[in-house]
Amino acid sequence: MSHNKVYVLGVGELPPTKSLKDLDFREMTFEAAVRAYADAGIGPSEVDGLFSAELDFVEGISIADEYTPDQVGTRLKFNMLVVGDFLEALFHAYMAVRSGLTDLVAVESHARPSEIENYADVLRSSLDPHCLRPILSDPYAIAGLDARAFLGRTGSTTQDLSLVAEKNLKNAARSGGPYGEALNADDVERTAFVYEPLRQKHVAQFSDYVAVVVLGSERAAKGSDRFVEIASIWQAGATSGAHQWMRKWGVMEWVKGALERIERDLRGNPMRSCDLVEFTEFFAHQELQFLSAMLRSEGEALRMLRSGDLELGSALPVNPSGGCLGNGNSLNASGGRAFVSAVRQLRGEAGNVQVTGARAAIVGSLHTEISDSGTLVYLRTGDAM
Amino acid sequence: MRRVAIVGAGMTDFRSMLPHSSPEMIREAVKRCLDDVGSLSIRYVDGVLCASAPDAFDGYHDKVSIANEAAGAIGKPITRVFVGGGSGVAAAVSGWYHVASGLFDTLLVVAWEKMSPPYPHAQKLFQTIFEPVIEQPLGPNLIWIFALEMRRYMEAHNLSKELIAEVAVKNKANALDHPHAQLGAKITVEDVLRSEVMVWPVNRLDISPTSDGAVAILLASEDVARKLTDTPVWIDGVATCLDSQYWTNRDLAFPYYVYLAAQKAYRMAGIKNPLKEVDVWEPYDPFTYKELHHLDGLLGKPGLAPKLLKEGQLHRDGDYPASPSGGLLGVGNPIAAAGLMKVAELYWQLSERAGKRQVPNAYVGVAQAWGDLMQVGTVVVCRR
Amino acid sequence: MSVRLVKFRRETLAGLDEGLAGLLSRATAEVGEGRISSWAKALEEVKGRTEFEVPETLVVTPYLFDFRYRRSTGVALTRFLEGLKEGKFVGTRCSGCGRVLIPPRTFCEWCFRRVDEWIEHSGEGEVATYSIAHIGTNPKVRLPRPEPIAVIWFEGTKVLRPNSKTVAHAAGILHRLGEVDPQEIRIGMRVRPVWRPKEERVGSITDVLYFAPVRG
Repeated sequence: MSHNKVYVLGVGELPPTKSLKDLDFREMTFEAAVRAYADAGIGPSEVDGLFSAELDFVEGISIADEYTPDQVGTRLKFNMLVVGDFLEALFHAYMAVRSGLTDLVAVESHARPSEIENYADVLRSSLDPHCLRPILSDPYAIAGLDARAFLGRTGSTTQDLSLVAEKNLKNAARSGGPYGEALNADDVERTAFVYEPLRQKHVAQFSDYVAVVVLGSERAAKGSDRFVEIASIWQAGATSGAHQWMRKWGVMEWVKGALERIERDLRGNPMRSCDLVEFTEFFAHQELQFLSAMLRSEGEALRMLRSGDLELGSALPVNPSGGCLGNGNSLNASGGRAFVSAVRQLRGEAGNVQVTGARAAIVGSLHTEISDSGTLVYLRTGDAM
Repeated sequence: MRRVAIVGAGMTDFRSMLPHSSPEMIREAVKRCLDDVGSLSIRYVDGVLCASAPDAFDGYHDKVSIANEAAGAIGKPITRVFVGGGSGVAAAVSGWYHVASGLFDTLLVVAWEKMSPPYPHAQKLFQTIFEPVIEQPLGPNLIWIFALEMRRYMEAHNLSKELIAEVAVKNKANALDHPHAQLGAKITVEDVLRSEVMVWPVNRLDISPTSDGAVAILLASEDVARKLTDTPVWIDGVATCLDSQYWTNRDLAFPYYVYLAAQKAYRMAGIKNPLKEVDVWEPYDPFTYKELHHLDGLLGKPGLAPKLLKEGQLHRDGDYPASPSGGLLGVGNPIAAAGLMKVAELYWQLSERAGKRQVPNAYVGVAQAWGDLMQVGTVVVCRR
Repeated sequence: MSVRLVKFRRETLAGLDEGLAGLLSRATAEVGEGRISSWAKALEEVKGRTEFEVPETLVVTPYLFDFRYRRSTGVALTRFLEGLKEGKFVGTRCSGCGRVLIPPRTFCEWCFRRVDEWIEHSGEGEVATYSIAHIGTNPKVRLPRPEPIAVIWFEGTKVLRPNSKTVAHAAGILHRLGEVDPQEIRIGMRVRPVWRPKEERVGSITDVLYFAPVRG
């Protein structure tokens, strides 16, 4: 039995910004959708459905999906809302196209953390109410615990975290990301601890963002000349529930299953064949954890970092866009920004941060800033049809 | 398209307050489902798709983490879908494309709801589904919007409260034969009309109250399904349809979005005349009039369902048995779980294991859920 | 079998960040011993009905959700609210389908295009559907007086499509009805907005007190 291949036919976004004030969430999503359809060269009437990724308490509305279809033009079409991040909605869209249920779909996610006054209270509520909420003033302390465990396991130091921050902040300065700046690792090391061992510049600040992506089957992609293929995608749930009791600290366990699956699909380790990696590193240590898991070697990941092999222009650029540290933490939409960046790279449209000759990319995102759960995608430029 | 079947189902009791935690409820439903398949090991489940309605009820932000361990999803894919009250059936729709895509050979679909934590009542949380700028300042409650729709529906087809109340009588009576029902009872139309008015024309017995509960079904691809069971129930048609957020601009008399979803699902299942070809109907019935409203949409004829009710055709022994399970009014309404309960009911009916609820000659069934601001229709068509 | 409500000790709260301590004490105060007896009943009821373990003691932890948002009203709703302050309803019109859109939006969801015009409407219209609330957000508490509510469709904005299955559309909003006996409300009844005095208007949907029947 054959299944449809799935292609990215268009992308649209409003670039990440510290605070988007003039448009409400409907208007901002409409703009991104208009751009995505123009990019794909289609009209919304051709779209079969919408897969969106929103969370009620990020929107400030129970039930977030009520407010999704109109501004993407999918009123009265197939609509599914995934409560998670952009790449999880993309996973659903991928399966729906592959199964033949839909032929041409939109995937959307937006977040406006600038409008949430007490986000820490929101995120704390994702944790167990009996044993964790009453003791954690700031849920980001979970990231601090995780970072400490990572440093302990690997013998690395905050200096390594600062190397990641230096790279991503510099990349964002080139790409135009809202938090881009020319700092070196020593400057980063001088910033204050926030969730020790994490320093202030190791933690991504918020940015508002929206992305709309158009996916289609081979039939829908015919005639298009700029498409990118989703060669493989897999999501993996957390190793622990809301109480974190079974969490393996310092390690991204979720990557294991996803990596095995993608290796099977590609008949080889994707890290060997890709030209760049975009990952939602809400905290600097997460980029290293992700790479360690993907390379199946913490030592290798650190070696590459320290010898500059993750820089733009080197062996395997990681977060050439600047990642979350450089572009901001857009909550559930962050994976959308990483995805759009990667697609633009493969189309040669990445401007100042273009990875020369990029033909394949890995995009990864975390379910939330503090969960050990995420989604992995392998993209490559489509072969001639 | 790759064929997908339901090979097992399990559920907890639905009760207004279950003292077990949500993970415990989920575990109970999952264990009963796997036992139903024949004590299948969780190892054979490739992944999980879960559904639960507003985060607010459980008192969690991002509550998929509640289901991880309980559904045996450690190291496996597990995501959550949410389209308001439509979630239970949407979960079956999403589960379908997980397996039909070829990525999963087996998939556990789990839906749970815990509405007992909010104090003093879950109703207050519903206020946040309304538009924050121009509706919430009016202090609405959820029943407002149902009452407005019910009044419009009554006007459009000149319906009496007496007729509509018969849905509660029928479904609560049907639920007496459901082993997990919260609200099985023998009541009369007068009981409904005499119960206190909440938001006129809605009386207390016109509504299903808040509940806790969980349901799990196991989906499998055709090859695997035939190895696991002699009575696979095929999911042959799936669809969702979401209308505009501007509900005050739409005439509420007919659920157009349910109609469109049903048409798509019928086409996919090869059904040309649902009135003739469908044997069992499980329309979403959080309120009495809703069953009729939704049936109108499923049958494609505004005003037909009340006529059929009057003729007694919606009873189990009628030509269009509707909610033989007892529905939400009879079994209970833990939101997402209630929708999946209707899909599970199709599984039990079409595999002839519905016991005293059994509809004779049940070969084709339709389950439907609804949600949001009078907006979403989710439909599955199943076949023996 | 018993049910116990978790209470946080003063020393524990004192050692916490002020925000979290405040949240936990408010939660405990608001919940109090509420529903403990209901939980005890639920615990008793489930005995013998499940093959899984039933706890000897059920522990209930109180928690408060207090999430605050500062939302931008964007282009369309900002103008709408400003219009309300001035005592009028601002809408948009789509030249594609010809509809008047209230609540206004900058794009038409039917045609998926930007709207071209802004218009003003008096707010006069008819009752599309109505209801009468006897409860608020706690179903156990009856309101002192039943409150009529309605969807009001604005005059001259109705659009019908020639098909028995499609539905009518019109510009319209949710609001309350006033100056009317609930018994006399009818679908199709003509109504007009009753505004707050100009100096009391702030740019909110509540600048309209209610809609009242057009009499005479």
